[in-house]
Amino acid sequence: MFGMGARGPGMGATGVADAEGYDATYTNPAGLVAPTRRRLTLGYVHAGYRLNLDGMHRPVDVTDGLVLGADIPVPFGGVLRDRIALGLGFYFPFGVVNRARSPFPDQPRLALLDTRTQVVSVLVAAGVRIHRRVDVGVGVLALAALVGTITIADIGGRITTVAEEQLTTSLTPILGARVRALGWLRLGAVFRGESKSIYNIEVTNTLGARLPLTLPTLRLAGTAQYDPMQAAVEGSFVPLSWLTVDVGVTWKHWSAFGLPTENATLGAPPQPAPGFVDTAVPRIGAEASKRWAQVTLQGRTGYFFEPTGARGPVLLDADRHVLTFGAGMTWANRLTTLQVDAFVQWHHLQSTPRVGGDFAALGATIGLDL
Amino acid sequence: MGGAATAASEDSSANYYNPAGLVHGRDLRIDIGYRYAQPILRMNGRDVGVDASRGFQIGIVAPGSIGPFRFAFGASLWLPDQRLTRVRSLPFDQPRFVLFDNRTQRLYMAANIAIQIVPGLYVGGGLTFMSRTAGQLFLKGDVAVSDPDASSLVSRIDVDLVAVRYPQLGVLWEPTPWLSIGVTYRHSFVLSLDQQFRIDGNIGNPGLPPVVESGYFAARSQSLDLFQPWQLTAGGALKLKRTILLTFDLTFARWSEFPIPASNLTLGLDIGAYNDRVMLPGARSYAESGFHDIVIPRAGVEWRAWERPKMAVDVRGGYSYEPTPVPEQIGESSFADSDKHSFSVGAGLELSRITSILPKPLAIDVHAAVTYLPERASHKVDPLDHTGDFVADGVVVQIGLMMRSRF
Repeated sequence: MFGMGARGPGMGATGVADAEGYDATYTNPAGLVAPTRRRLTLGYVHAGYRLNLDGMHRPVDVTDGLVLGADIPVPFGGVLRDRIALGLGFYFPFGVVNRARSPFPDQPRLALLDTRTQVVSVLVAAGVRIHRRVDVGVGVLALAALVGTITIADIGGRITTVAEEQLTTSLTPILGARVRALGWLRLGAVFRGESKSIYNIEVTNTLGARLPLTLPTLRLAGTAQYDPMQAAVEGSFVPLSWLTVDVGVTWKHWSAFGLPTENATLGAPPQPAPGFVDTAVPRIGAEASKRWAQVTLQGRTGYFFEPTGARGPVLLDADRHVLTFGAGMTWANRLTTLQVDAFVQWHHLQSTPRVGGDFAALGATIGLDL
Repeated sequence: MGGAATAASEDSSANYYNPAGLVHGRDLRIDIGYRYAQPILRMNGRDVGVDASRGFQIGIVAPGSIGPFRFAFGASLWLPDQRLTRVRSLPFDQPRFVLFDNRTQRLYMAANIAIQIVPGLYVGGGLTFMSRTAGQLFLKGDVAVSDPDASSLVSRIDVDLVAVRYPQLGVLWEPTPWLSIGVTYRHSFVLSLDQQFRIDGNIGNPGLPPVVESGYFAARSQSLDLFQPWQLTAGGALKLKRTILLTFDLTFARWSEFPIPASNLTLGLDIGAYNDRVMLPGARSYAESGFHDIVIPRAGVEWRAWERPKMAVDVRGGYSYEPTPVPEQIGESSFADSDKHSFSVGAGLELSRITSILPKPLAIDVHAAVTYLPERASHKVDPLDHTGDFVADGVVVQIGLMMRSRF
């Protein structure tokens, strides 16, 4: 929700045209091939929420997570020299790997904010330079799905449970391309597939002789985490040697999001349509940099408008205006290069009669060339 | 090499065997491979159908330095190609091969950092990541008596896959060019399954007044599935000649902490006037599992059998003996196991400077291993025990292929 790394999130979540290193595993894997140094980055992300729903404070779990990134140019020789790079990006929320939390279908909820950051993200990507002006990249985003059965049984006169739960992998492709069109202009495009973490647990029982009624088979199923299919294009302009301006737009296919919670039995009345719609997110970001000897400082800012994809009567959300700020420092000395970045995002929900509030995210990373 | 690699691993396998080995080499390493293991485990002569374990092994070692200070980052992934992790709880008295049944059905993901203290002395450590499940499932609506499938229930779910991390630490010391000594500690972990569910609603038939209003049925199941004991391994690697490497490992595994693998079920019910017709049992207790600690010796040998400027062939072999930590099963439980004798062979082809694209060696390794479990009998005290006396034995056959690239 806040982007990968600390540079792009400080520039209005841009980067499709100019993100490099592990930030690019999500933003645009084509950017992996740009750096020729091996770097390991460690970071932390925190977000706090002050949201309200139907006039009441709506508690949303604080986001606390660890970011780990690795930029690994593969030092092939010959014609492949400096042409292939790998990137790893991990986001580990403290405490949980994944959270499936869905209220009863008739209970209003913040469909897109409630537990969206409570899931591990594992990104593996590769970038290839196919021409001196053109890079392409491909990556995979992995999420976990939970499926299982629980049987409450009377076995030999004893009531016991037989349970089996499996975590399976849900893989999502990320494809990107980038063109250095002119000295002052880079263009980028990226496609991200639908990313979904489902749960499907069946509860059965064989307690017939123990109870004066038969309980039905229960199926608890739904979507715990969802990110829609997306396509983004962006231009990165360098009007002055010290200034970069990124402008882009992202299309999000929210209308493909089905019901977050399915009915537990066939006899339950059908749920109303969830009311998700596709959206387009415009973004703008800027970075100014200044170098003094071995130290380069960067200042960043940006803005994006995130229209909500949830417009149903029960699955609620609101349009968001997001202001972002960031700073970075690069210290390139004789022995190594150190990169420190930080960002702040302020998300303001454009109030509706039912939903409103704000939340803020901040993060910092430190990267070291190996 | 019989798994004896605590003092002799510097590729991505060091993420498991000894993280200190990650910083031993100076090359970027990327390894990828596939492994398949098929257990054929029998009780009273019948194959009990323990699932095969198969999947991809992927690892990376990225060394670096700041002046004379050397360090390395490593990550390793065992990715089963059927599922990431399976958590399973079975009735306490159900016969099973307790150390095989579900133990291999899990993802292994480890990340480590290693540093060089002084030349020849390295330390490393990191975390391995797992998850366990804890959650609550709530339902509300109407339960149909005559036709349960006509019940109208909707659900609320609150399930967390909770992160479980356990540390591993290692030290590697090279007192001479021909001798390495390593020590590794891996911490224990327990994966449990804690699930509650509750149905609140009316009981009756659709379209008719309910027989019971606002009743409930609740159950909570707490069970244990995967357990790994903490382990301390000391190993040595001896380079007899330039072409022969001998390795030895000795592992202490704290199996006596193995908790009882039984599910604990708590039930609650309120169906109004019908409560008197229901007798729900209370929680029950189980005997201690009685597992004991074990010491596992391992030995391996690697011989560079053939060497040319651009190509070399290594041949490997190994053996390990793992005594069973499971006591004889004389009571209610029927945990099958036996001592394990593992024999392994392998070969590696190392290609150097085969093309300008790959200036450093590329190795392709294959291995095969057989673990033999001799017959072991358990005699039950209770002649009416519904499993009865049983004999357990079997073999586990394993093959694997790995490509190791250096840059």
